[in-house]
Amino acid sequence: MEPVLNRYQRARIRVREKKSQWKGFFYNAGDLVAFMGRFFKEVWKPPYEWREVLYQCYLVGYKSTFLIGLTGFIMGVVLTIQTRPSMAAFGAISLIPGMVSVSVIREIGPVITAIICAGKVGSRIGAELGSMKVSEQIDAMEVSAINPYRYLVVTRTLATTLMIPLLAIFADVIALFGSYVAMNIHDATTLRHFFLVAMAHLEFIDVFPALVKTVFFGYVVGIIGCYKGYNARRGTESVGIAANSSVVAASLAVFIIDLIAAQVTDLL
Amino acid sequence: MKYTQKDQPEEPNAKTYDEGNPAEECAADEAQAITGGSTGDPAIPDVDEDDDDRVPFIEKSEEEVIAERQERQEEADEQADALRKAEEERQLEFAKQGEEPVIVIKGLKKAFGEHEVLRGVDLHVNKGENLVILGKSGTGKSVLIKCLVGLEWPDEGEITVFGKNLPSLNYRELNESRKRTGFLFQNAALYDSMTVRENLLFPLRQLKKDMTKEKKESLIMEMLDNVGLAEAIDQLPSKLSGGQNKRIGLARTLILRPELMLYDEPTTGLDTGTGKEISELMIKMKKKYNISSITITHDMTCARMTADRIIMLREGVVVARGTYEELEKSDDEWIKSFFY
Repeated sequence: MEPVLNRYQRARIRVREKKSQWKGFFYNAGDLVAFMGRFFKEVWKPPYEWREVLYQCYLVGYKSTFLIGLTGFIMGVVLTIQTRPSMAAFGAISLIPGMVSVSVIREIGPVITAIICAGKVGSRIGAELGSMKVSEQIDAMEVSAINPYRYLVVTRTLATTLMIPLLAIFADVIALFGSYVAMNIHDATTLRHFFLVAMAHLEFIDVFPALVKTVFFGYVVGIIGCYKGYNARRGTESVGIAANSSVVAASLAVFIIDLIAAQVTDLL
Repeated sequence: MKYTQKDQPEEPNAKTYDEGNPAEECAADEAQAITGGSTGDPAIPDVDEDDDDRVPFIEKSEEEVIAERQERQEEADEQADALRKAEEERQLEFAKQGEEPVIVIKGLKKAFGEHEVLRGVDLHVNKGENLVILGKSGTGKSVLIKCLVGLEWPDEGEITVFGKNLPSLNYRELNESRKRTGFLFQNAALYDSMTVRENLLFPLRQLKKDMTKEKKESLIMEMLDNVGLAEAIDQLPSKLSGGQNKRIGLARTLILRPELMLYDEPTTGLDTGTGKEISELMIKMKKKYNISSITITHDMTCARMTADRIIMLREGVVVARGTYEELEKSDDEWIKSFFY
């Protein structure tokens, strides 16, 4: 029989829960930092799992090209159509390629690519490793004297760190092409002319920091997916939780890095 | 105006609050919540920091329960001491014969939070011997063998495997010990994204880098022949039955030629016939490769077929040791319950 709790007991339970929640939060944060740090220690150590890295690059990069390309195209089209009336009001239609190229390359391309990859790749990694954890496959590697961190985490994180910048560049190019298509709905311009105008507005400070931040985006998407999967608890439910929390945590991390990158770029 | 808690007789120490000062009331609530003071309500059990949120009502008084628990604990400790002495004597006998045990465990303790899973386990395994560990679910059998490969770390005690104290080893030394040890998981733990061939090839590719491709291939075929599943070489684990998965798991473990095998419930979830086949396979492999092993099982047929010796765990303590025949004749009701 469950005893009825009075308000003092309920208050004490609430305090205890709050205490354990904060304790859990700091414990998990510390654990994540240690897990992220271990990557830099393990990545240099031979034997290098090139075969697995290449396979993961194929899964992260090649398998995402259609989705990223389509999103990039839509992004370019929408941005052009939405901004055209305002630009037309100022008689600045000729500035649309420059405006689109700066906004896509500096911000929208990298962030959208990272968010899509957090959803597509991060959840896959979280679910895959979570399932391996639940079915004791990670333990099986460990007891066979195979380092599961190096084989599973390093390879996947390396693949996302290498592929997400490439996917972001791909998304940028396709978005500019989308913008060119949208421009031709109302105006007539050649592809060569459109790209010349778009590139003329770009500076080193627009391109380089954007490229650097995609490397960080790739790293966090990979490592957070791996962390969530690697630390899944026993039970099938934890696989779903690992996949879900990978996406949420990686997306949040992408925005936080973007905020930091914006501040740093502003100082340059 | 002052008030006390409703439906409660006035007590000299009952807390009273000024109605007109809610801040004081909240502070008092919080202080009580944090310090863990009594609620003062005899009808409502007090919630302690360590207690569960829901406290059941019990008929026995607290003193009676504590006394009973102490009595049980003392009995169990006495029994464990007697068995520990017998175990030491047995080890001395083997030492005199010049046989070095593959595993020696002394005073192994492991707890998860408040729950003590292992409470001072002592055992040894000699070369070429299969030790079966019996016990009900949740008695710490799996935790015990996971401690032997560093998947769990003991809180106290010594674990000597191949003459080295496991808890004192660094990661590289631990891996050296792991290379000599095979572990068959309860669900075989095959890599489900790889075919059977890739599952067997994976540990070879990782650990036997000097081995030629042809040699690896022939080793895979030899192992699959051993477990009678050569035709399944290109299948995915998901296409195989539970028994076949266990066999492949065994083949994958044996491909590294371990000197020590740890079987975690090898026949669980299998029908009687398949369970017997797995037991026969374990005996065959033990004879062929002279492997020492520890088997955890609830399956008495498997225990009877494979055990050289049996130990029985109850609430984290070894309560009986002996051969299958010796334990079968025991008068202890709890031990009998396993055999009949």
